[in-house]
Amino acid sequence: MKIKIQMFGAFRVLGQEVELDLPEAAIVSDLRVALQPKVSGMELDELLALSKFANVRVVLADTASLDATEVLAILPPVSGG
Amino acid sequence: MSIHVEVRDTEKQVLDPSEALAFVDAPGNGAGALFVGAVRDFNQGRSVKGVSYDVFAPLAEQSFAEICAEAQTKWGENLRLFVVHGKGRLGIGGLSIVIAAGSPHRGEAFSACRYVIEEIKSRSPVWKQEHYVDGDSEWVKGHALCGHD
Repeated sequence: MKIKIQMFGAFRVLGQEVELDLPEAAIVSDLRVALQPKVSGMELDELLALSKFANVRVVLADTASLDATEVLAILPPVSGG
Repeated sequence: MSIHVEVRDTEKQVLDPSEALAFVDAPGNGAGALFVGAVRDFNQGRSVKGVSYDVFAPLAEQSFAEICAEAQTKWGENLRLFVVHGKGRLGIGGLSIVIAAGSPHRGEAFSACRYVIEEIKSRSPVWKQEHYVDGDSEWVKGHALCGHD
């Protein structure tokens, strides 16, 4: 399935969103693995390991299943206020 | 509604503390506490000329609402809360966040206002990129989030 992930914070360097092609049974932790080659050598490796993924309602656990129809986002460590 | 939460494009409409205080005012409230966050010109040894705020707006607004509901549980349902966070680029002195809490007595208002800003800083999906006088820009290191099962 094709999954689109909106980019935020330091991951904006990859664009507004990144599209990944993943197996139908993929889970959230697979997003991190699939993004790894795109950030390799960009000093984002460590940030990717610290980042979470979310839909518009909740930050997702690494074991959660994926829904290709949902808006998904990568959330690096936050610094608001 | 006793809670107002919002992510606002500051390049279209600036944040206004008087709007926040007006929202939390009520006949039964004798206290109003206000927190205003602004861009400062120096951080971590570097001269700053501005900050860009990036926000995942739907989840940010949901997290603000959850945090405000928690504050009402802690300090009473009479508590009125207003939260607006900026999105976009701000210069020095620009307002990035305005929080107001209104309650019958000052203790609850101060505590709730402090609670809301501290929780937002560690839980809400907002990122800031500092722009320095020397032309460089850098994303500020932040707090890693927790996921839900």
